[in-house]
Amino acid sequence: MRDELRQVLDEYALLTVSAASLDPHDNLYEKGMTSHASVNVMLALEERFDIEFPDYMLTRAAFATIADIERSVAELLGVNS
Amino acid sequence: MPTGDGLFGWGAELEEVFTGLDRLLTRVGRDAGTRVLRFPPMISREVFEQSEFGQSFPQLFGTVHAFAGDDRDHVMLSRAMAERTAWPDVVRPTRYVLTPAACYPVYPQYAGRPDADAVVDTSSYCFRHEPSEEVGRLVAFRQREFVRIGTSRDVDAWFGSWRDRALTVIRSLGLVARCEPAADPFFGRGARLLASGQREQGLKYEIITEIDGHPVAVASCNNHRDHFGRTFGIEASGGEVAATSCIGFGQERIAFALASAFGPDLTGWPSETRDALWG
Repeated sequence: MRDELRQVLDEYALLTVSAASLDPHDNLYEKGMTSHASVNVMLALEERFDIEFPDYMLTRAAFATIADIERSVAELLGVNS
Repeated sequence: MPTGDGLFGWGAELEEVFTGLDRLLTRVGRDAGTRVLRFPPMISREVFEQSEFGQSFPQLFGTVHAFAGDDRDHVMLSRAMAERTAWPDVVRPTRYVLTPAACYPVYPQYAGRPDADAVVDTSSYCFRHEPSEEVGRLVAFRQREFVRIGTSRDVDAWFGSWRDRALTVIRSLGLVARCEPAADPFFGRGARLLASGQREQGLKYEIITEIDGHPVAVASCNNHRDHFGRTFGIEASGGEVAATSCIGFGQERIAFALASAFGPDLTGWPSETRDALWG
């Protein structure tokens, strides 16, 4: 899942560095992701994993790091499977 | 006097209130170093695209369309207009977009110039495509704005300083008002994420008063951080991407709140209100 997540970040997060070079706990906003870009990341993840983020996960903090996003996606995939 | 969905006209009394409000806001917001800039109520498509308003609020903007066709197209259009039927595809978007917020034409003025450090006083008619019966929600309205462009430190301080100033100016009119954290009405599935980010970071507050018993925002202060600095390429001192902030006053809403609180007869308004507007 992490590879797919990094692909989505490379495509949509407008990061100043490649997602592959990031530590899971690096702050994505500090690496160039704008708030609009975070929306595009969110929408792309929904499509890629066929999930829908519920309202409580739609916070700035929930998209702050790769680890944060992974946690949300894993939870949703668990619920769906 | 309504003239159509979300549009209205007014007479001498309301015009007098607008004049008084303009003078009051000049006293409160303008000082010797303030640059005064006025623009017509539209911006170029290029400026609109740079602003990224369409990414945040596609439901709110309006473009200027104009006829683009030959004699045959003209006949078709004339017939459709006479018959009140749908227009044929001969009226197309021009290079102009209606100004969605008074500060938008200001930012390009500072693009590509080093050491941007300014306070700007601006004002415009604004358009937002949200026809509504809701009290005070107009599609075309006057906004008076003060804009700060500079380093993030200076802009953050300015943004904070307006919290008390804006509340004080609305209260000086005799209105009961409060200041609340707020978020913009973003579009679609991203709305919650963007609004939560805005609230978590404390980037917007509004001054709320009442019109006919309904809470209505009459002023809003926004900290854009480096958004416009980035999209318009504005540089602050030291070469950092400029930060920007604006405080906007909705002049119709303030006037409606006054009429709602004190009645239609201006001579009967409290002396503190009259002094603030016309003293």
